[in-house]
Amino acid sequence: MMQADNDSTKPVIELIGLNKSYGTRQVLCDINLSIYAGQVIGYIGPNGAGKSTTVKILCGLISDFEGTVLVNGVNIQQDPVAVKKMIGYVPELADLYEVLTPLEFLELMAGLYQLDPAVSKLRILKMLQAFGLGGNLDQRMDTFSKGMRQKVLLISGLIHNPSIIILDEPLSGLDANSVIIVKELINKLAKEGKTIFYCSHMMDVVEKVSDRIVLINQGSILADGSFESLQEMMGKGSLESIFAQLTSTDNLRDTASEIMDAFRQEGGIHE
Amino acid sequence: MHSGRKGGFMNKISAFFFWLALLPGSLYRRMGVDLVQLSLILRYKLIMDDRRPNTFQQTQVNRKKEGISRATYGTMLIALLMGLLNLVAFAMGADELTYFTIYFSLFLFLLSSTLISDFTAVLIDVRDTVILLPKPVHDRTFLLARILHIMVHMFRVIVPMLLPALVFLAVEYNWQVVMLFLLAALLASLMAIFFINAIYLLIIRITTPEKFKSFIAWFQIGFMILIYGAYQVVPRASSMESVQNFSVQDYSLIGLFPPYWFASSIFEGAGLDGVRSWGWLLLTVVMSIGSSWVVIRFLAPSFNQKLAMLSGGETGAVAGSTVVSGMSRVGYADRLANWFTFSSVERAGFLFTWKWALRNRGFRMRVYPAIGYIVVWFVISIYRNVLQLDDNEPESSSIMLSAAGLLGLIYLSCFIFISAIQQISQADEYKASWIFYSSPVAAPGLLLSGTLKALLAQFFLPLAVLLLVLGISWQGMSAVPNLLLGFSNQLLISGLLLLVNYKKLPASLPANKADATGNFLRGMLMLLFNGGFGLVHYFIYSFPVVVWISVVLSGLSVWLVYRRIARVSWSEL
Repeated sequence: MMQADNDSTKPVIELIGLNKSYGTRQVLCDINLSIYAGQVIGYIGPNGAGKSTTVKILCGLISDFEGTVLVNGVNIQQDPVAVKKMIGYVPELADLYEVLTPLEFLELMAGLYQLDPAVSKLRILKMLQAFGLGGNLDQRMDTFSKGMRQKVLLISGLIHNPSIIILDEPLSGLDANSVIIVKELINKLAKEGKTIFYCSHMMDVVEKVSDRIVLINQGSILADGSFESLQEMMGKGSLESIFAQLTSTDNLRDTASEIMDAFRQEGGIHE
Repeated sequence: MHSGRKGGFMNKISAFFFWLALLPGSLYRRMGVDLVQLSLILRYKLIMDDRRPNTFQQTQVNRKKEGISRATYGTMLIALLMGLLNLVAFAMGADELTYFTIYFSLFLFLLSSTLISDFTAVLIDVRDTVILLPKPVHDRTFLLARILHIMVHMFRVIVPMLLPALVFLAVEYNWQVVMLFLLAALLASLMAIFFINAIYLLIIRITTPEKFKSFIAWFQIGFMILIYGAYQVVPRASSMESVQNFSVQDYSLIGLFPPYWFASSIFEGAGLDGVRSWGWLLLTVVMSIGSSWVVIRFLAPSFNQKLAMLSGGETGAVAGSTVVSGMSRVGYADRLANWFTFSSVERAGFLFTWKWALRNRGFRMRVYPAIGYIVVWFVISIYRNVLQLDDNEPESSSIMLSAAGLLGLIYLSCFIFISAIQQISQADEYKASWIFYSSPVAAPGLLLSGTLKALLAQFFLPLAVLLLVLGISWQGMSAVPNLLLGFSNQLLISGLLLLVNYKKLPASLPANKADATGNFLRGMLMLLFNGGFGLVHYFIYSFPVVVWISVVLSGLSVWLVYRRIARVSWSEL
């Protein structure tokens, strides 16, 4: 299902005038974004900024939005199935069917992506072994740790070799060594021309992994550019401090002081 | 024919139904369904069903090691027993049409209630949203997979449920009746499935998905209470004689009642007496197939969308309203806590339990039906005592009747808090109970007594107030000592129950860790104990001096028991 179109002037993902509200609450306001092949987009923003709503729209989970979403030229509202075929999605802290073994679960996933069973079986085994789960192939996942489940989820998002990969906090629960593996994996996938949409709160990882950072807050894009261009705009500093400058209305150090003050200013300790 | 892929193994019964469900493959394909994906989803859904523990197997110790793969068999056994009970239909009524109408009523009723309770687990599996919906699968394929899954799930119940009736009919009638009965039963099942499905889809269209889950929970609670009420009221309302003379043909509006259609459609081919009309058979076929068409054509498209939102994080506005409604409650709870608790730890236990019991859906589901049963009991008792007191019975016997009625109400009310005490320790989010273990609480006894007091304040206090009012209005101030003794005994029983059996912190154990068999025996013992108290109370009822002395003794015991609870140590938990 690889997209043969290598024309880098044509965006792989195009969000045009994207609006979404739940009742009276506007979650996304007029998002316009063009993403090109081989880009690793770090999609960051504070809690409730609209990150996961964007991801859900891109994955075809939410279809009642205003605006246009094109993936490789296909309108997601008109043909969600075609778009879903091109996308690999690794959800955040997702549930698994725990009573299945990883092998069974991934065979189900591969089947839904319409892969040839012979091909997918081999691929699943190789990937599970590479992630160190070779010894747990036939063990039900209700015994798995958070990190082991996350590995299975990662495989389930990559199994069909998608041209676009959407990762929502893919490192949660992984140990330090697995984090290194996944970061390296993201680099390798991007080099092969895959487009990666990386959602995270971990600024240091986003800073290292992404070549373009999109920062949203309260449903609107505040900044969009490479880490270097953001630094030029906001002054030298880590992504963490740039993030704080753009999204926080208060001085965060003052907030910490206020928290400490809570001990001092009270009249007496309540029992 | 598609046989799916290699992978997990189903048990033989599931495999058979799987094969059966996929028989009309070419029809599915013409409907625009992807057969490979369909068989894959269905296959794994059935495998997961087999591995999901049922009520029997949850207590197995070696569950992790061997896993559960025969959950289906237990379900089928229960269905067989239900089917045997349904045979009672053939003993009620004046003619055969009535037998069959009653049978189909019972059948449809049991089937629908099974469906409703299973739908939350089967149809509304929120994990589907993140796992299946992002995959390139058409809505139609999803819907058919879901419907077939429900049908297989149901047929595992339907077949054993019909079996006793089939044997009975084969012996009593002839093979034609059996065949027609089977056909009618299948159509009835189909209709029940699509009818309930349509209701669910309709509800999900009308209300917000957030409210949907709690709606289902409330619906299930109401449904259980309704069943119980019907079982209590119907046999009392009508004598056996009138049941035997009852015939559905005496009622002209019976034609609007679906079980009658199925019953009538049997008679045409079998040559039995009754309303002969192909119209009924036609009606059942049209209704069964028509309702499925409506579901697929009109209701399905929006379903997956709504389902996606069901597990989503769209909580903004709703969370706000929940907080507001919680605020006024907290004010009330705070006041109660001020009255009933004497230390900050006990107060913490009280307030936590109060809020958790009010807000946790699982707890409500387990406990509220018990409250409903008591309410039904209340209504029946009041009906008997208030409305039938005027009968020309001698004065003394009518007083004793209300004494028994009043004591019955007081001692029955323990059912509510007994189930509350039993259930309060169980929670899906039991891991959050680390807060109790990590906080510097020297002994958990005060937490426990706070918990107990909160449960009593929530589940016993309102009832006690009501009983006080009822008792005084029935019998005047002379009822007061007896009411006090009754209440004091209830407090004593609740305290003893906690002390003997349930020294567990609130919301601190996984739901299936509960030792079900032990619970049952303990529950029975507790009932005997409670009944014993009630019986003794009944005998001393008309001797005020004895009652007053008992009040003092009982009150003293309550004080001792609650003091003991407050001293429960960590090692006793």
